Amino acid sequence: MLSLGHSLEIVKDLGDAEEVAEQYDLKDFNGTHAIGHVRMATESDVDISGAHPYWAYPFTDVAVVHNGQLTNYFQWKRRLERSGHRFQSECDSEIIAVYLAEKMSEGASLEDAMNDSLEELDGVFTYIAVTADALGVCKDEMAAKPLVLYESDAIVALASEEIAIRAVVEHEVDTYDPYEGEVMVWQR
Amino acid sequence: MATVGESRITYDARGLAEPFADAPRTAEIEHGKATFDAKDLTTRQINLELRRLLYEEGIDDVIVLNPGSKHSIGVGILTRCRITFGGSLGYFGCGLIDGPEIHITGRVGWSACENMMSGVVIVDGNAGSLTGAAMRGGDLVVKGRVGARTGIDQKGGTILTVGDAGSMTAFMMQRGRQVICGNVGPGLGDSMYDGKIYVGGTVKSLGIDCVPGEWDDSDTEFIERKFRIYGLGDPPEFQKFVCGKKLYNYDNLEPSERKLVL
Repeated sequence: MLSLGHSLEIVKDLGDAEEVAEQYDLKDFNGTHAIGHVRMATESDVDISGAHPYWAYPFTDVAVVHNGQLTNYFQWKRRLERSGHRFQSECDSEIIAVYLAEKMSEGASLEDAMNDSLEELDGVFTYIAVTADALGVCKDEMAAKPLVLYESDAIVALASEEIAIRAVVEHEVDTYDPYEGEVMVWQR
Repeated sequence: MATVGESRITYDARGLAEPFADAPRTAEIEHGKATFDAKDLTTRQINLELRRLLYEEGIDDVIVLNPGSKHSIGVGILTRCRITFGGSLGYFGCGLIDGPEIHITGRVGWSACENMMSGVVIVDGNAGSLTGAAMRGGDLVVKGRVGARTGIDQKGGTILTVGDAGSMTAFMMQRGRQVICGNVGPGLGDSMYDGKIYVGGTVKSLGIDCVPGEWDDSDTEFIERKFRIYGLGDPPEFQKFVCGKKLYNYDNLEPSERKLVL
């Protein structure tokens, strides 16, 4: 998922990160922020509909990658369906994208919507959300899922493990794990 | 080694990622001290080179440069030696060790020093969650901050954190000591059985059956000794927390005995 300055573009396919990057020439993409996800399927099938990032259809430019499980998935799915939303998958992570998009369409900022999600979404999660001009991360109150953060004057990098950050930053980096219940948003 | 379908992905039924790796033999040995660069080595190659030096060459002082935050490095070292990692380690670093003195100049990921039996590990940077999980002995010193559930199921030894600690620190702690100089998140010492926790900063909330403990001379001696050994300066004022033992509902009889009696 990349922001090309004005809008987000999404690429999903089956294969490892290297294969998909090569297939879609990701190295030629230009943008200010990007999120990516390699999924280990647990609940739903290994197919493209189960792949992250999830786009908040029908809203524009809200997408999410998620590590964890939402235990009130069906409640939220029914609630959001009653509000007229339709889902593209059976994956709980899609809820987060639509949930945030709906909050923002009602006037909330990305940060406010993410803070609300700490109270309203049950289960364990670390998720990253992007809009056309912002990137945010949210970690549940149990800090059950990993997140490593690196911030420098040049970049902000977030990943489940530092080795992923070291794949794009050659030198030793000073990283830390944000704590439980933290929401952080970076605006372009 | 089996191949999955027509894909180039292969797997080993024993679960080994690189079942046929060999020690790369790239270390330079000088005056009984070995140094090797881990930058282009895989996890198994790094561990095999470490083991070759420690167990076959009889070297007891090894420097590993550029570990690159790789996972499962320095695991299962069961001999007295000195190891320096010049950089950061990923998940499960230095787990299951018995004896070594290890210095990590960067940070460590989740579950560092899991099930550590004895020795000393000093981490100059931060640590992820589950640091020192099920630790049984030795000293683990983190000069930065630690993540959630530090010392979960701790059964001995000391975990000393200079910075802050996350939620559920010392969850189900059974023995040993934790010293946290900074602030601690919610649920400190939740469901602990025994052991002592010392906190220099604030505690967001105590977990179930974790209560303030009475300070005595042995606590002062312990804190001063550890600060002196690790050159941490003057200790701050600590609060002590112990198990309230309200969750102790153990039956005196073994299950088999219970059946006979009842």
